[in-house]
Amino acid sequence: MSVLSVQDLKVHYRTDRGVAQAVRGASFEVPEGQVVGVVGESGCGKTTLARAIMGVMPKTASIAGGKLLFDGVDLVSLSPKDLAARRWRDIAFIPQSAMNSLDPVYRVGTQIAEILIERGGMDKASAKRRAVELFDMVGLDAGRLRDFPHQYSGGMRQRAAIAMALALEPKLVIADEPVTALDVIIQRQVLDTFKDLQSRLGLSVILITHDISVVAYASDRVVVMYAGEVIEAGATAEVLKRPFHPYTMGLYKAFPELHGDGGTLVPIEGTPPNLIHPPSACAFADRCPFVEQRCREVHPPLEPVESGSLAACLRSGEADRLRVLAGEASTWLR
Amino acid sequence: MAPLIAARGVEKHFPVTRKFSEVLRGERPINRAVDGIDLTIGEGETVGLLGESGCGKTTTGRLLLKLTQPTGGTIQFAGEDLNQVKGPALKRFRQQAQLVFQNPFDALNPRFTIFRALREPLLNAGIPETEHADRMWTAMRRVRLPDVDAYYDRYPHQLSGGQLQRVVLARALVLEPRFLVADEPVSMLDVSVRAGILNVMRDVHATMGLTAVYISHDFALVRYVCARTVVMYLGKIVEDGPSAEVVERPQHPYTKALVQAVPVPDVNQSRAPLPIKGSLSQAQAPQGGCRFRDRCPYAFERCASEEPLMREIVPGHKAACHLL
Amino acid sequence: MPATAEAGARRAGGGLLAGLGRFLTLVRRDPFATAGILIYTVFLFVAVFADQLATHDPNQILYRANGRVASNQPPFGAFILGTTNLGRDIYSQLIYGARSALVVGVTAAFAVVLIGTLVGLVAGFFRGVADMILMRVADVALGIPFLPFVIVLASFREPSVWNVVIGMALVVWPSTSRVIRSQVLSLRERTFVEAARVTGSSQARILFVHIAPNVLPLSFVYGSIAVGWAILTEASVSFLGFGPTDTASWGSMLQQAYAAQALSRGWYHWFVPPGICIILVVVAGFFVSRGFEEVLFPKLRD
Repeated sequence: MSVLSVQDLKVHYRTDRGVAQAVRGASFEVPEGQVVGVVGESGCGKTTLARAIMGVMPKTASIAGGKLLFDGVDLVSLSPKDLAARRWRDIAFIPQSAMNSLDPVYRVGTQIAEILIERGGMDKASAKRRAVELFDMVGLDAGRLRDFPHQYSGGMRQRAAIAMALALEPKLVIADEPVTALDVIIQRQVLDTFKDLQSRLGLSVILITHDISVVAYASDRVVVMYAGEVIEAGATAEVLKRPFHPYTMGLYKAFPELHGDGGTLVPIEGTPPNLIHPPSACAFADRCPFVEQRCREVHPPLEPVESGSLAACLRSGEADRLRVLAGEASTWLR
Repeated sequence: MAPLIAARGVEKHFPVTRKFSEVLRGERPINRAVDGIDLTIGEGETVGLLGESGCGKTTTGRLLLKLTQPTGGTIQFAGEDLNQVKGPALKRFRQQAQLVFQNPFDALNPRFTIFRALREPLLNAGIPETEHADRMWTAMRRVRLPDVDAYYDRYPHQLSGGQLQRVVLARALVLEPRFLVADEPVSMLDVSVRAGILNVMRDVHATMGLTAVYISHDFALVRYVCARTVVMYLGKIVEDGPSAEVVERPQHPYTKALVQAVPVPDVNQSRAPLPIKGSLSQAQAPQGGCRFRDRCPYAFERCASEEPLMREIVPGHKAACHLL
Repeated sequence: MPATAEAGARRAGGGLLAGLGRFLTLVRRDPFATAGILIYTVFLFVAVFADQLATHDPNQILYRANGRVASNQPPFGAFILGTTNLGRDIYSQLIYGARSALVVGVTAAFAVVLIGTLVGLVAGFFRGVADMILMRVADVALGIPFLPFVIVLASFREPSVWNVVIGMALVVWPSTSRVIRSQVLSLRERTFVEAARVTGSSQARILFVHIAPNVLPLSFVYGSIAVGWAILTEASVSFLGFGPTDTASWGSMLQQAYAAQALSRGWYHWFVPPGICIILVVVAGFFVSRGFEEVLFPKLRD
């Protein structure tokens, strides 16, 4: 049972130089109670996707097609007012920098209580009790509810943002780089708290990140995006163990390993394509070491592969062989 | 090997903006960003300065480059005391010691073409103009931007982050320096281009025999680029040794937690809770004794009363902990 | 190094093309700024070719064929805009008024921008004692009421348009220097400035090669505002009767018209044209400064 079904979503931005196709027909499912990691580099459309689902897009952006089925309702067709009513209650958001969701001039406790009272229809006393409960949940001292956001450390702010997101027991939480700004130790601690709450409460989560390690650590399923498209999707364990798209293969080898020698890192040369005039065929062709003539002519469909995941590569049939080659840095040098 | 850099008891204390209550009480809090560091770096060594934000690693890097003055201690560069270096000697030092910045998008003057940016250090150093073209070309080859004509006429905003960081590195290398500090050189870049920069840095160290200090919060990156790792915690060095040693056999409890916290792209990684408490914050740093004791799961009485000193565990591998 | 020389040539060509491209962008993006530039161009043309464009000497008292003073002639007859009550040609006064307005506006703006920018650069870059002293002087200058100051200046010296220029230079620079200073303060923290230091650039080179070009657009913004401000001041001073009597200026035209009770007598052709000219030039200054901001600070937009 999916909580959210993203179907052929297209998001366009108006810019000075033309229309940028930030999301170009992305489809994936968010199964109930699971964490779906959306991974990709900057400009791949992952943040635009999150904003589209939240219904908080800048004025220059518009949904140009597709559906966002949440509980059987298409969010795209809802009025801004109806969407706003669902925010926090059904779909909550954890931003990269909690400073953006916390108002610096109000006490943190006041802000959480406000959500509970305004959106959740609670009275003052029960909102207060609930706020204490939430702080307990995310591992913050309830005494700190009286503090202002600037009195918190980065990790504490991120925990407070999680508490706020969970305040009304939403069905879906969208977390946009929730731990990227934090130091590794704090990152891990916040991630652990979040993961623990997620499994205890049975939350469905979209975890947006550029860091494949965070996906590996915290997600059940992974969606790899490139140039506004989903190029690979499946169970995290499968996709990371047996990637079928050369971009995923490269991304996996682009991180140095902590233990062991690890050999030379794989650099993916070049830059993603311009999304104002996106290529009609494979968007990764220009950077792909395994590119063939047909890759520049035919658009690769997102199809099931052997492992049960989905991949959008014309050569996914040869993936076992390509994976070995992709492990060599020399393959990627040109 | 004669040390290129010898830092002794280096301190950098900043005055902190006081809160009103502190002004009333006449308190003058200071931020001990770097609080007594001894660090010897041999010619040709690559050292990773590792630590969380606020541990003083960036300040240490700036001290080593004389971009900020220490409030205590001395730093020697090739036998010269950096505190005394002035005038022409400072100019010579600037030619030998270079910095690669964290943010490549701001490290180049937006009004300068890449050509002008690369030529700037040569002009400043008074290198004869006949040598400029050759030197710039060599530097661009080193950072694997061999197609120089495609870059020289362009402005920074026309390049991608990865290309910019290569240009920044080329600018640092154009004077053939002896010493290079790189402050989180890939943390603002996209994952897919990081590896390219890291490989270039590794090659540069190897082919130029450059002494380098690489500042990062990322253990895996430090291990990949540097032969030696120095771990800092709240202005102090807590562990120092060959990178492989420090990663595989961490001695200090803080290093152990760091190693365990490093995210790895592996689904079957350990998810055991970290052996560490609380979070790093200058305000809460205990004075006297071991600075890590509040977060340390193994702390005992001695940690509060006596400051642990660095001691050698195996040759070349040192750590500062009473448990050792 | 032929390759480098060639590249140099290409760079120069690119600069010219880029400049043209930027101008076209400005026209498309900001019609107001374009209008401002057009107004400036027209007035510049008039000021330069005033001798050719004027039909009479602006200070000469004209006579009719019958030997009587040609006073209060209606417009669109023998005299394009008619004549004053003392028989001077209004059209020619207007033309020469453009010249004196332009001289006052440009020199005053130049002085203000030069002083303001230098002070701002030095104060922001070196900070410390220099900053303290310069900014306290700026505070004092800001406290001086501008128009009375110019009037006092005019009564001490010969009445001349230079009083306005000197007054502007002495009193108006602080607002420019404060803005430049704050811009320098933020620029000196930028990574590329630190990079210049690391690569061994001298303080002077950092200040004039790396920082100054990045604040110059801001100086231009304040300069184009100062042009309008100076012309307005000159008009006010002349209107109040402290201006020079021997040079035709829009302000003195208004003053003479006022003294002759032109308004109550319905001599619109006398005071409306200089009024419109003042408004146009001042407004053009604001339009241009706005356009500068838009085009020269593309970063502000993105």
